[in-house]
Amino acid sequence: MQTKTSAAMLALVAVISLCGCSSLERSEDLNSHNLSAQVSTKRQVVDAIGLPRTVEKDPGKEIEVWHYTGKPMNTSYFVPMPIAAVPAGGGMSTVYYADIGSKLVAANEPVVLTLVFDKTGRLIQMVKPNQKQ
Amino acid sequence: MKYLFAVLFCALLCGCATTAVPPIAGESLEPLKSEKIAVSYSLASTRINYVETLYRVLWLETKTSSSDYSGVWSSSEADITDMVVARLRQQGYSAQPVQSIIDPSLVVAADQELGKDMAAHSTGPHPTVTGAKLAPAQPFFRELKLGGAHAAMLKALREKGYNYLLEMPSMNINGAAIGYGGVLVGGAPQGRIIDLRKPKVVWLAPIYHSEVYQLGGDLKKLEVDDMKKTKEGLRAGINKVDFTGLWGLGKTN
Repeated sequence: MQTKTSAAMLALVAVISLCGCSSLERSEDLNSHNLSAQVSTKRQVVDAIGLPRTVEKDPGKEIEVWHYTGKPMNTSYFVPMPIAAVPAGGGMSTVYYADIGSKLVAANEPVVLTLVFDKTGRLIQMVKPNQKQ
Repeated sequence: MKYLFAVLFCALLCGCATTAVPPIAGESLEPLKSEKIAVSYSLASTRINYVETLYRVLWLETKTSSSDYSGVWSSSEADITDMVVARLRQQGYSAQPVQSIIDPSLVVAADQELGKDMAAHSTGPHPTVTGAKLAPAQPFFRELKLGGAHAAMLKALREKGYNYLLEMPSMNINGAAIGYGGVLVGGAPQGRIIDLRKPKVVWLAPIYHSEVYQLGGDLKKLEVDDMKKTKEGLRAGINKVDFTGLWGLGKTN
């Protein structure tokens, strides 16, 4: 019995895990890319890690700075909790649910990667602001 | 969140039957059948706002985010304007993008001014996308600002012999992972026809446009390959807009 319960729980966890990763969670991309300063282009950067959260342009220095957080801005949860079941006849019931999920849970979004491009669109510098020197 | 879903849901439905929106009282759109039309699609921000819903068996998660594409697609307003012109020509109208009629720098200045005004008159902050703003209420688009870069653009178009401008100001581009692997991309501009002779807004209505692709629910696929899928989706969505039907000008195609 215990083995069956454990197996069922593992199966449930596996199904939940496999039910769609978020394409807005990009921390893994930001940590596992093979981009190189002085080599990679803007297009290669976007193909590898997507568009940045913000872009700053410095016309005077002819550079462009891209900031990445790797996280979505916020997440809302819809968690249906059954609160009542009313017989509906024919052996059926109508079940009422309450949504107990948290809404608009803001992600902690520090900038984890900053890229600097020259006027030709070539990556010239990569900075991880939170990394210890 | 509810606002974003409502906009995207309306955009999804835009491929269905078009209901004509009458012109402002006392005005007529019949001249559009024969006169040349200047066209301008503008964006108040160079961002794509995202919403993604994930099925977690026992609960649902909805995530929102926003990306800045100004570093890779600086010509978005001109490019999308060209898409609208192409669609209008498909439907038999004599349309030209404003960038090819007057000095493009006048258009850039006008669009920037309009974008700032839209942000200043926003109905409020976006409920889920931090830093983003909702579009102004419709009465904002009925009025034309006297003086300034936008008025200069209207004057310049009139001096080039144009009597009508179709303007489609939008806050931003939208992307959504809508379930079963579908990814929607589209926009929700306010469409208005300006009679440049008066000058006055003679027709006003939202013009939602969108397209859905099977991308495995991956919103990053809208960004890669020079934003190919975003551009395709905007074009496909605009090609479904029935301007003739919206303007009530006769047989649609």
